Amino acid sequence: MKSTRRWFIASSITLALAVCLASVSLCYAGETHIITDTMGRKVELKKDIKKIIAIPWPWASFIFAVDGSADKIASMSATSLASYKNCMFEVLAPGLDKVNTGYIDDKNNTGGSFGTLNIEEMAKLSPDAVIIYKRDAKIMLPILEAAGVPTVVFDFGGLKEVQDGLVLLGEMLGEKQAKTAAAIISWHHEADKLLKERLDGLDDSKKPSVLMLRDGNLRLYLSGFSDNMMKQAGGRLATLSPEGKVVSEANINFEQMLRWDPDYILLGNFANHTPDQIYENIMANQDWSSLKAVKNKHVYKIPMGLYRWDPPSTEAHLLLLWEAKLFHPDLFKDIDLEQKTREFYKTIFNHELSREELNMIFHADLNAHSEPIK
Amino acid sequence: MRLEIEHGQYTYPGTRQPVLNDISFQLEDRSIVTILGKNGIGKTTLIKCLSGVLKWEKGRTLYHGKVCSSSKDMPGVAFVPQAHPLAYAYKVRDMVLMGRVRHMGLLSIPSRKDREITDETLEELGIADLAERTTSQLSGGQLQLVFVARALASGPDVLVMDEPESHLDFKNQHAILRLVRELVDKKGLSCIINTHYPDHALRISDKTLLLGKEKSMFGITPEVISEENIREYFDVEARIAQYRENGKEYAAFVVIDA
Amino acid sequence: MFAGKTLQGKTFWIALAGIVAAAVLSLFCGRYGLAPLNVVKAVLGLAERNMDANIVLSVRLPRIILTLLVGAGLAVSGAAFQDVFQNPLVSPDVLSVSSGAAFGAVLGIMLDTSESVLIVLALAMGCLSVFLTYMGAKIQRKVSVLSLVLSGIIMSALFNALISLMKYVADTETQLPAITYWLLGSFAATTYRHVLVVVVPILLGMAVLLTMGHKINILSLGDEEAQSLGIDPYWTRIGIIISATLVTAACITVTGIIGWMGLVIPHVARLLVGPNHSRLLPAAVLLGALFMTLMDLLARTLLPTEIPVGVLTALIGAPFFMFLFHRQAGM
Repeated sequence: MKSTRRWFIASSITLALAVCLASVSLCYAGETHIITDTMGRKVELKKDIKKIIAIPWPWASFIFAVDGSADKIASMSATSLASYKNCMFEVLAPGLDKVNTGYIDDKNNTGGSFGTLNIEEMAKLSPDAVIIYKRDAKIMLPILEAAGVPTVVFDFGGLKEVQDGLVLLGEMLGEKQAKTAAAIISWHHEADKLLKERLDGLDDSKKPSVLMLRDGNLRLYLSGFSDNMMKQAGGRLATLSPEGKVVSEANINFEQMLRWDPDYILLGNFANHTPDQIYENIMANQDWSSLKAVKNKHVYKIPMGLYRWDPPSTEAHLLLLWEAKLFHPDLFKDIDLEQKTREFYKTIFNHELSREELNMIFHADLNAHSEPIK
Repeated sequence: MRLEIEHGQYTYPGTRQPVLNDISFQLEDRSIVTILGKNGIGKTTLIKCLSGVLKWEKGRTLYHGKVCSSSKDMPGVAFVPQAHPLAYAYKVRDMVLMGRVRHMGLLSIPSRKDREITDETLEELGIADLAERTTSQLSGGQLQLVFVARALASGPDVLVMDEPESHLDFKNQHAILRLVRELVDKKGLSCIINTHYPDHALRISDKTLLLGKEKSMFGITPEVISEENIREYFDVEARIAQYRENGKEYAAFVVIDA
Repeated sequence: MFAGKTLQGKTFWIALAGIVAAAVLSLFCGRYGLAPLNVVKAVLGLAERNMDANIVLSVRLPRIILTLLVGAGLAVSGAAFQDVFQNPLVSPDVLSVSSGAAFGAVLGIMLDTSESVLIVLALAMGCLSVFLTYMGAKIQRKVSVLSLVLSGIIMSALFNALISLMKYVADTETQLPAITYWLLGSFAATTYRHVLVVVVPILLGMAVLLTMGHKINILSLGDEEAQSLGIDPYWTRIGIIISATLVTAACITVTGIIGWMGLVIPHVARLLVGPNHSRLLPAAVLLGALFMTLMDLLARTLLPTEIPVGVLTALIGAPFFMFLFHRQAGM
C-alpha cells in the first residue's frame, strides 16, 4: 500500500539521519579538553591541535622544540620571523619563512606584545589556539574572544614563567610533547641546581658587575628575564640603583655608562651591535676605551641558537652556564659548554651540531676579539 | 507706564567720568520716545544699559513698574539693531525665527506655532517674498526690515531701535518711520528710537530725550527740539521751517551758515 | 515654504539611506573573506561555521555601530565648537579638548580605573583644557581668532607632553601596552563592551546639541544681540561646550584620538546645507557617521595589517582642509 511505503521511506530517512548525527556527535565528543592558562582562565581547546599562532616572540621556537616539528606553527609575529632567519631555527625547520605575519603590527613594542591586530586576517588562518602575553590580554582578549579564537595567555618574567609556559604547551599539544617539555625543564633545573651549589654564599664583592645592551643606541632590556638570568649566573646588576630599583628599558646616556663602568657588557640579539663596534669606538660615537670591560676584552655578543638567548628561550639553561662561565671562569672551568649544547640539540632535535653551526650559535666571528671563554 | 529709567548713571570701567549722568525718562503706552545727541555722547551706551547688556552704576530701569536687572526681566522688550553685514548668511525666514527664542524652553526646538508666527510677521511687513533669500542677498532697507520682523516675532510691547534710518536711502528712511508709527498706532506698541535726525524725531515721536555732555533734557518733542536746544546740544545753528499741505503740518530743520 | 520643507526632507532621507548602505556594505567586507551569502546566513543565525558568525556578529557589527556613533559624535561636537567660538578654524583638536581628554583617559589607564571612571576623567580634563585655552586666549578681555588658536596649540602641547611623561613612567608590563595601543587611534579591538560604555554619553550629548541648534544660530550673531534676543550667551555657551566635550571625551576614551573629523565634516556639511544650525548639526551627524564608517572600512581591509584610522582621516582631511581654507579665504 502507498501509505506503508511512504512510512517506510520516512522512517529509513529518519534513521539514517539519526545515525549520521550520532556519529558526527561521537566524532566531536571527546575532541576537546579544558586547560587553565596563566591568568586562571579555563580555555576549551581541541585535543588534536593542528594550528597554533604564537604571538610573543620566543614562543614559536618553543612550540618547535616541544613538538619536534614546525608543522603546527601557523603564524608568528614579524619580529619572531626576523630572528628565525639567522639561526638554527631556520636550519632545523626550513620553509617557515612563508608564514603570514602581516596582520600583527609589533614594530613599536618590546617584549613580544603587539600594537594592533587585524583580527579578521588572523581569523582567516583558523587557528586552533593563539598564545598571547598577559600584558596584551587587557586589550586583545575581548576581541579574540568575540571572534571565538581560543586564546591561551602566557606570562613573561623569569625562568619560572618559561617553565610554566612549557608545561602549558605540553598540556596543549599532547603526551609526547609534555614529555619533551618536561625534559627541557629538567635541563633548566639541572643548570639551576649547579649554579646554586657553586655560587651559594658568594659575597657580592666577588660578583662582577654586568650590563646587557639591547641595541647600539644604549638601550637597556625590559627588567625581568635577562636581569634575573644574569643574577642567577652570579653577576651583580650594574643597573641597580642604591635604592634597589633596576633601570628598565631606557636609553641611557654615555655618562651613565661611564659611571656604572660594568665588568662585563653583553650585547643582545635584537639589533646588530657588535663587540668590535665598542672596541673600535664606533658605537654611539663614543670613546669606550676607558671602560673596564673594554680594557679586559669582556664585551660579548650573546649566543643565538634556536632563538635568541637573551630573552626567554628553550636554551635558557645554556645561557645560564654561558654567563656563569663568563662571570666566574674558575668556578665553572669543568663545564664544557659546547658539549652540553651538542647534547641538547641531539636529545631534543636529534641533530648533530657541526663546527660551523656551533660557531654560528656562539657568534665566534663577532666574539673573536674578546677574551675566549675557558 | 511701560518703561522707565530713573536717574541712570553709567561709567565705563577704567574711565573716571560717567558717560551717562542722571538720566531719567518715561515711555508710555502707545508712544514713541526718540533719543538724540552728538556722536559718542552715549546713545548706544544708553540702549545697552536699557536692554540689560550693561548694568547701571546708579539708578534703574523699570518695566511695567518692576525693577529690571537683566533682559530676562523685560520679556516684552525687543531690540532692533542697525542693519549690518552678518557673519553667516542665514535665510531670512531662519533669521526672523530667531526672534521666537525667548518663548522656547531650554532644550526645545522651534514649534509649528513659532513658524506660523514667523510667517505672519513676514507677511505683515510685506517681505514674505524674501523668506527664502539669504541675508547677504538683501539691500540695506530690506535687511533692516528683517531685523524689525525678528524683533516683532517675539511679540513685544516695546521696540528699541538703534538708528534704524541710517544707511538707508531717502525713500526707505521714511518708509521705516512710517512703519514705526503704524506699529505704534495700529498694534499698540511703544518705541524707543535712537536717531541722528531731529527732523525724524519731530515727525513721529511723542517725547524726546536730548543727551548732552553733562546734562540731558526730556520732554514733549516739539518743546525739546527747539532752535535753542539744537544750538546748545548740537552746536549747530538751525531754524525750524513750517510747511502745510493737505491739512497736515510738517516741520523741518534748515541749517543756517553762521 | 512647503517646497523648502520637502527638499530638506528628501536630502535627509538620501543621507540616511547612504549611511545604511555604507553600514551594510561594511558588514559584508573584511579581510576574513566571507562570501555575501555566508554573511547573510550568519546574520540569520544559520552560519555554517562558528567563526563566520563570530566575525560578522561579534567583530564586524559592534565595530560598525561604534564607527557610526563615534563618527557622528566627533562631527557634531566639532560643529558645535566651531560655532560657539564663532570661528571655522577651531575644532576639539585645535582647542586642545582632544589632548586634554586623552590625558584624562591615560591617567585613568595609569590608575587602572573602570571604563566609566575613565570617561569621567576624560570629560573633566577635556573641560579643563577648554577652560585653560579660553583663559589663555583672553588678552585684555578680548578673545580673537588668532589668540584662541595659539592658546589651543599651547595647551595641546602641554597635555601631549603630560601624556608622554605618563608613557615614560608607565609600567611596561601592565600599563604601557594599553596606553601605546590606545594612543594609536583605532577601532581595532572594538567589542560590544565598548559600544555599551559610550552609547549613553554620546547619544545624550548629541541630543542636547541637536536641540541647541537654534540657540547656536543666535549665538553667532554676537553676544549683545543674543542677549537682547533673550538668551544668556554665557550659560548657553557653557552648556554647548560641556555637551560637545562629553561627546568628544566619550569617543576618545574608546578609540583614542581620531583627528580631523571635527574640523572637516562640519565644513562639508555647511557647504551642503548652509549655516543654519538646526540643519547643520543633523547634517554633520549623518555625514560624520557615513565618513567614519567608510574610513574604518578602508582601515581594516586595505592591508593585512590594521591601519590606524586616524592616519586615514588625516591623509584625507588635511589636504581637503587646505582646499577649503583657500576657497574661503578667496571668497
